[in-house]
Amino acid sequence: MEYVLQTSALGKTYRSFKALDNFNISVPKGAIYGIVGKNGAGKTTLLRLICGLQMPTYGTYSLYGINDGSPDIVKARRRMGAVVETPSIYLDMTASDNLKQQCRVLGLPDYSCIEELLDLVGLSGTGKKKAKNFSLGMRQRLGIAVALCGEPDFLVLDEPVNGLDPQGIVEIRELILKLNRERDITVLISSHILEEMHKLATHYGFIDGGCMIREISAEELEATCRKCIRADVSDTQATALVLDEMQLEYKILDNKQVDIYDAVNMSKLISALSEKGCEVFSVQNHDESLESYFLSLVGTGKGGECR
Amino acid sequence: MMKLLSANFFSMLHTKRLWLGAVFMAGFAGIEIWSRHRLVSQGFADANLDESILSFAPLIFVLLPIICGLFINTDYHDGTIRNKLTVGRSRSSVYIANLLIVWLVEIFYAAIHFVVVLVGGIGLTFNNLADTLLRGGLLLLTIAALAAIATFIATLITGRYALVLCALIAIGMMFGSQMMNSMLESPDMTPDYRDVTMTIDEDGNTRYEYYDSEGNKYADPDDIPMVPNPGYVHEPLRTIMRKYNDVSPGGQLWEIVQRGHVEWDIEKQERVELVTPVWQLVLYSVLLIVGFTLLGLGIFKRKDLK
Repeated sequence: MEYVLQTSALGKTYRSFKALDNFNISVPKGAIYGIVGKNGAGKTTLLRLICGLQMPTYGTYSLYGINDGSPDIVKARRRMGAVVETPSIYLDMTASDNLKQQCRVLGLPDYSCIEELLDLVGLSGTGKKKAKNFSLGMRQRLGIAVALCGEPDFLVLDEPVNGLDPQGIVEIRELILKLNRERDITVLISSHILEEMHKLATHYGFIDGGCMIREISAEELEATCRKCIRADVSDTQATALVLDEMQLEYKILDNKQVDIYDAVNMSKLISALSEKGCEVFSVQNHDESLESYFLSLVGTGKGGECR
Repeated sequence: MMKLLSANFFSMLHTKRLWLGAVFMAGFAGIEIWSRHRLVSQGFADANLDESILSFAPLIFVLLPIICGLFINTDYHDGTIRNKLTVGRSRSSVYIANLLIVWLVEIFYAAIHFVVVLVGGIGLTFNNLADTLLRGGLLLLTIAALAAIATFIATLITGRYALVLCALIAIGMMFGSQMMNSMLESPDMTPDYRDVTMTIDEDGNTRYEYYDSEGNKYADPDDIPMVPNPGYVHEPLRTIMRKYNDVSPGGQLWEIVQRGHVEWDIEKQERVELVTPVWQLVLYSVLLIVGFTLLGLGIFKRKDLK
C-alpha cells in the first residue's frame, strides 16, 4: 500500500510535557484518515509537526516517502495544503484576494484556479466582502480553498467543523467527500466529534496522551461496532456447530462468548444447543457505537496504552 | 524568494497602515518645506534644501519599526505564515522576504518625502548636494539596520506586544542616544553656586548674579569656586557610551543629522566637535544588519509556531 504520510516513533515535548510520545501513523493514499482523540490528546501537535510549523523532539516522519530530514521535504510539502487550527486567511482581504495571495506564495503562473476554487467552496458570490465580515463557516471554507491552491493531493484539516452550525457542518462534510472522491485528494482530519468523523473517515487513528492507541479501517471498525446478539454459553464448539447448521453469521469471541450477527429465533437456538449439551447462560443485544468503542480504547481519562 | 516577496508586496499594498504612513510622511514633508519657505522669507534660514531633504530620518526612524511590527505580526495574528511554511517555503526565505519588504517600505517613505520636498522646494537649491546625498544614504543605511532589529523582534515575538516593543526600542534608541550625547557634553567641573538671578538693565543688557549657599553674592562670576560635576560621565562608561552611540542606529541618526557630536575634552577643558568616520558608521550598520539577520534566521529556524 502506498502511504502519503508515515511517522516513526515521533515525539514532541514542551519542556517536561510530552505532547506526542513515540507516535506512529500511516496514512494510505486516497484515504480520509480521521485522527480521533480528546482535547489535548496531541492531534494538533501532530498536524503542526507534519506541516513544518514545529520540529519533532525525536523521531521522524515522511511525506510521500521523503524523510523530514531531507532537503526534498519542501518539495513534498508543495503537494499538500493545510488548515491547522483557525483558517489562515488575511482578514482585510476579499476571498478572491486571499486566493491570489496564496497563488503568489506558490508562484502559480496565473489566477485561473481562483474562480473554480471559489465555486467549489461556495464562496463565488462574496464579491468585495472582506474576510473579516465572513461567518465562521465561510472563513473555514475560504481556509480550505486557500489550502487547495496549487492542486495539492494531500489535505490536512484540523477540527474543520468546530464551532460550525449544522448546515455548515454538512457543507464542509460534503466538500471533503467531494474532494476525496472527485479529485482523489488524501485527507487527514483531526476531530473530537466522533459522529461527524464516522460519516467521513475511511481510516481511523485513535490517539490519547500523545500516543497512537489504534489504527483501524472503517470496514474493521464497522465490523467491530456491528449490531449483534452476544451469547454466553458453556461450549462454544457445540454452539459453532449449531450456528453452522442454522446458516447464521457468527463470531466466537472466546471460549464462553459468541456474537451472532443474523436475526435468530431464540427458542429454536436454545433448544438446539440444549440437544448438544450446551447451556446458555445469558443472551443480550450488543450494539457498540463509535463513542463506546473510543471510550473502551482510551478509558475514561486515564489514557490508553500506546500501540 | 521572489514568490514570497511578490506575496508580501501584494499584502503590504493592501494594508491601510502603509498608506496612512505614506500620507503622514507626505504631510510631514509638506509642513517641513512650508516652514523652510517661511523661515527663508523671514531671513532666519538659508535658501537651501539640504536640511529639509534629510528631515525624513527621525520620522521614518519611529514609523518604520511600527509598520514592520504590524506587517510581520499580522502574519502570526491571521495565521497566514502557516500558508507559506505548509506549502514548502523555507523559513529563511520567509524571514528574508519580510526584511526586504520592510526595506522597500523605507525607500518608499523616503521617496515620498524627497518628492514632496523637491516639488514644494522649487526655487530653493542645494548648498552641498554631494554631502546631502552621502548623508541621505547613510541615514537610509542606519534606518535599514534598525529595520533589521525590528524584523528580528517582530519575527521572534509572536504576540501583539511585539509591535509595542518595536516602537519602544526605536523611540528609546533615538532619545537614549541624544541623552547620552548630552551627558558626554557635560564638563567634569561645574561652578558651585546656589542661586542665580537674571536682570536686564536700562540698556537692555542681561546680567547674571550668582549667590553662594549662605546667600552672599559673588562679585565676579570668575570667583565662583569649581566643584566636580556629578553629571560628568567617567571612564570606562564614557567610552562605552560613545561606542554605543557610534554603533546604535539611534546614535548614528543624530551623528549624521547633526554632522558629528560634541564632547567635553577634559584636557582642553572645553567642548570639542568630533565626527565619527563615515566608514565606521557604514561598517557598524552593515554589521548590525548581518548580525541580527543571521541571529534571527538561526532562532527562527528552530522556533515552534502555532
